[in-house]
Amino acid sequence: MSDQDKPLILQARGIRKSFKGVHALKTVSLNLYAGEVHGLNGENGAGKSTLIKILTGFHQPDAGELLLEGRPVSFSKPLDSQHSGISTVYQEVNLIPERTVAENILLGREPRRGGILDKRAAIAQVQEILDRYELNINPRSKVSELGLGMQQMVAIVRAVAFEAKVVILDEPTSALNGNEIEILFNVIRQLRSEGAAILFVSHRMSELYELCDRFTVLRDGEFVTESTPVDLPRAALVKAMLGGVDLDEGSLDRDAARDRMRRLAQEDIGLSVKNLTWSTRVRDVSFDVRKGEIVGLLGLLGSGRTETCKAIFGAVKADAGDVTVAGTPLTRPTPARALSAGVSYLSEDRRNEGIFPGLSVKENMTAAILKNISKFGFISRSAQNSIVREFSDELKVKASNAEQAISELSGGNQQKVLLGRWLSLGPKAVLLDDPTRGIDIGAKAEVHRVIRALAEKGIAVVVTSSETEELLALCDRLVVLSEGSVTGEVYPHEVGYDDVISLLSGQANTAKQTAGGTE
Amino acid sequence: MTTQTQTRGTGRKTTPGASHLLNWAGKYSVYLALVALFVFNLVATDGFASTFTLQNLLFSAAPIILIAVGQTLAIGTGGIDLSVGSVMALSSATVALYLGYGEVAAIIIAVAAAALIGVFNGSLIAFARINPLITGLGLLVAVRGLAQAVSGGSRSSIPPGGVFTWIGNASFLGIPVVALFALAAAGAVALLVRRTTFGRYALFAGSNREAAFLAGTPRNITLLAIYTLSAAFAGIAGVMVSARIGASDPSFIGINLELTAIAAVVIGGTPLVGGRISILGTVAAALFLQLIDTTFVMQDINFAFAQVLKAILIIAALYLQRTRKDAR
Amino acid sequence: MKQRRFSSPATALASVALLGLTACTAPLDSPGSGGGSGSAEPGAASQVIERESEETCTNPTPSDTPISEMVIGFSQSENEQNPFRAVETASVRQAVEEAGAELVYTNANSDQAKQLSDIQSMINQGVDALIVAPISATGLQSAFAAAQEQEIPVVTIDRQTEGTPCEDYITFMGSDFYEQGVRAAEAMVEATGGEGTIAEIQGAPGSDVATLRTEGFSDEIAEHEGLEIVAQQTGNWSTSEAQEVMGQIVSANPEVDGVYTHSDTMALGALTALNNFGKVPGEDVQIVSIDGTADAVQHVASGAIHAVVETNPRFGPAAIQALQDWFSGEEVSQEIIMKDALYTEENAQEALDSGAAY
Repeated sequence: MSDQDKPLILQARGIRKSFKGVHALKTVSLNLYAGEVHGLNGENGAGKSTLIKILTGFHQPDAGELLLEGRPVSFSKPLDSQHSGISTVYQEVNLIPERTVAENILLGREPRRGGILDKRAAIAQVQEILDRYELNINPRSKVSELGLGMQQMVAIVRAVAFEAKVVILDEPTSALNGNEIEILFNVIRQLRSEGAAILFVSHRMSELYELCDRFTVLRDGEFVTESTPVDLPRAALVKAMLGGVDLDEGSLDRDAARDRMRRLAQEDIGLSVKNLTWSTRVRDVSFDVRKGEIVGLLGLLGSGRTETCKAIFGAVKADAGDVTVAGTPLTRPTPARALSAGVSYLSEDRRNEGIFPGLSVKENMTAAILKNISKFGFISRSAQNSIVREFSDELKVKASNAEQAISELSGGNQQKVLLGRWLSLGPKAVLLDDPTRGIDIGAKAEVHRVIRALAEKGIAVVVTSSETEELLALCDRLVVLSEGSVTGEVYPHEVGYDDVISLLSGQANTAKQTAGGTE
Repeated sequence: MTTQTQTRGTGRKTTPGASHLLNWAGKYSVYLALVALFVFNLVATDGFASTFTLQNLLFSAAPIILIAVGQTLAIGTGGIDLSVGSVMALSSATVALYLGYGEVAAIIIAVAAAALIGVFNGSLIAFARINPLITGLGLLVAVRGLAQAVSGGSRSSIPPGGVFTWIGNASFLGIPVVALFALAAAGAVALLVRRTTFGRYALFAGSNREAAFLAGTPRNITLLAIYTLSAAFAGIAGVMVSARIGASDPSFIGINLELTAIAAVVIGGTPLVGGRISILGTVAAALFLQLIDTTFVMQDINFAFAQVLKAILIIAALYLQRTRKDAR
Repeated sequence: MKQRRFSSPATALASVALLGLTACTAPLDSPGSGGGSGSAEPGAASQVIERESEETCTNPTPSDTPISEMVIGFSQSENEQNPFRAVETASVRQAVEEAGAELVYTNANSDQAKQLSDIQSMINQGVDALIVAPISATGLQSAFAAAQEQEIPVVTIDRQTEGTPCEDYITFMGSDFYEQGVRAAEAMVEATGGEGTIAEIQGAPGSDVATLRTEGFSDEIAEHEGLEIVAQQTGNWSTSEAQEVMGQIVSANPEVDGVYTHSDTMALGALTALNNFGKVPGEDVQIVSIDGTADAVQHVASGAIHAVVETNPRFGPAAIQALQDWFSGEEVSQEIIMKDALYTEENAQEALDSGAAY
């Protein structure tokens, strides 16, 4: 593709930004050309949202410059960016539900005749815009009467219909169904043909390759590469996103690993998942975990790894599928039932789904076990204290005392308290969803040690991580998920990093050849 | 617990002494306010230091304490119970309706009817997942209407000399029996909150709903129990007020008391967002609010002016609390 | 029991919407605030007109249709669980019957919006005349306009409401609430011998009725130097609030000689509180009240309450008379004030026996 003939519209050069001394962006560049869809790619924490917020004027860069059509610009507030022709559509639809489509699209730009709103002209104008994007929406309909997808289209049309030079779409497809996505893509293609530059963020690999003319890849706040889909095929893209860090092959003692696999093969199945399906996010997922085995669910963001854990635990209601814990089926799972069956689940979202913020370390750690340590509803304080003592010691929780509020602890220590909550139950299987997310390196090592100790005790462990290397180093086996489906299974000691990368990018053919299994 | 001390972020500019004092004042603000106003009255209000005045104060405060304690639980779970005032009226109406079966039977039926409203309210909130503000607003109107309908609405006297007269007037060691009952109920609930799984589950639901669900706690049953208890307390409060005035008066009993109860809860240190429950604070705040009213009437302060003063006192109490929150 | 309206910003924040709603459930005004369990018999003590205004309204197009062939609509404001309302409705019902006309009856149950739609639907049903007991002092304009368009005359009773006489309504008939206050004061002067301290327990703050009863009372008391009003607090028309407030007032003023309450329901609460304090009403302290419910008049007969100024709810005959005059083209006074009785120990038993006390 020859891009040089297209004019450069928006250019970011050497952008640097840090928050409270933490670098979010270090020397990032971005080139947006007229009439192309540009995919901005990177894992969590790569700096995508920070960059978007700088382009839209929410943040100001510490260093670097923005050039709009060749002229340097600076946005001190979002309105500056909008007035320069940069439109953004966020994930949440931001419309007035009780107003019509026409009113929403024209908000603030209504045609007037002699100071009076010209309704007929407004409808005609909006109809013309909707026709341009081949959207079958009645301008007189109330927004609240439309489906979520159509509402999103209206939001996009509103954002782009007037003099948009640059359109930023941050995960616009996450809430849409297949049909709606097609309509959205048509709108985007129309925009492209009108000469707009579109910055597109999606975690769905297939969408990126269907739509984008060019990619920019960020990793850990740094610019990695700018390339075209042809030059950067799936595997290369994933590798660019995750980093090319090769595994220290020496650290994997292949012989020991094989011994361990042989030993594990003798063990009973601790947790079995069959044909688990939930909406479009988990599709027919099956895998077994032996007692004492550590299985990693490997997948990119949006691959369904969290949803799979939640469906097993009953935190979301699966549409189909069977879960068996140590030979006993877990019927109609709810968290309470799963816990009694011996399954624990550590959520990836510590703040919203884990801690009870105002309550003490003690209350937080014993939250799930109260039923077992109470008589006639009265909690045994001695039992409560001894649990807290035991697991604080074992997990090396650093807190001034058991009564300290958990919200005063560091992230790592909060996570240890939560681990204590789930481990004190004496589970048969544990689901640890990104247990090392956002905690410091020391705490990370502690968590790894704890996970290995769990496996030693014969517990079936399922673990996910946003860091592939972590899973490769920690797990006996990896189940690879892509867009909700299992695309392969690998043994870390059998495969190279590149094999894992190709699995992650969703290319099942590679998966087949590496998913060899035990010897 | 390991013994390492966690270094906390102490970026505050205030000197340790001043911050400590503010923190202390904030923590005990409602108790301080109660004591201060009490002392003020002893000194400045003629006739305040008398058994009659103090007994009256407690007779009036008892039903407020009861409904405020129930309200504390509801708010502690992140909810609210707006039906309590109307439930008091229903209880009062039911008393009149069943007086023919004997006074004790009438009381039991009245409290049971009140509890039934709580079961209904709790079911809507816990199982049908309707916002407690919505169910409460609905019941606030509907239950008052029901109370007026079942009773024929009008005030009707309860014959003197029986159980009701006793409830309305009896004292033990100089303290009204209704006040002793309310304090005992508050104590029992405080024990529930501190020592039982039920209390923990309520706190969990208020502190982090999703985490409570994922910890497998019986959130729905807990909510049902709490709204039932709150309504049952309102039922008892309705009996107390009826006994005190010697009549069933469904058109007037409990009007706007849900607001007083909510105020008592918030002033007592239970935040409206839930996740913390302070029964003792609620009791002190209920007494404080009652004492404010008594002060204004005994000082014969004009109603409109009294309302403004009351608002200022309440804001002051809440402001001290805010200081505490920041200091944490 | 405390039930004072709570209006701190803190709670207002918590439940802004509540304040509006509770207003619907709380009767804010007497007349009609009354409680009691008296009989609802009408006609036991029919109304006597005290005075009429000189301004009159006259029907520009009199008709020959006798009232006996008419349909008369009655919009009651509050439900009849309140004895005042029960007696009022019964009186209207009986008067319409006696005139041989047909009655269409609606009850707004204290809901202003319902009263508007009640009146509208009666107009649609084709009533020939309307008797309206307004819920509040404002807000009936649109209903009046609709009636005027159909040339349907409106008689308003018991509470005065906004409107232009002869256009919106042909007459208002009711009690003179200021005069009630004056008469209560006169009774108080007599009871105390013109010497001593008085406590006043008022109706809901902001209610017209309460304001007038306060003004009439204090204007008259001001004429007597030996009397002093030492406490004025609201009891919100409520027995329990009045009882609580009375307790507090008597603690602060143990020597209080007279208590004036704006309604009988509050008099009952005050009575209990005074008894609890150890005062003997009728001996140590004199109570004067307004309304005339059977419960209160009973206490007048027994001597515990010194006097009750009546608020007579029996508007039926006068309302029908006004309508008859209107249709036949005679002058109708724009304001008709009813004569209210004064119940004292002498006539209380008689009023109870005759059913005049309701």
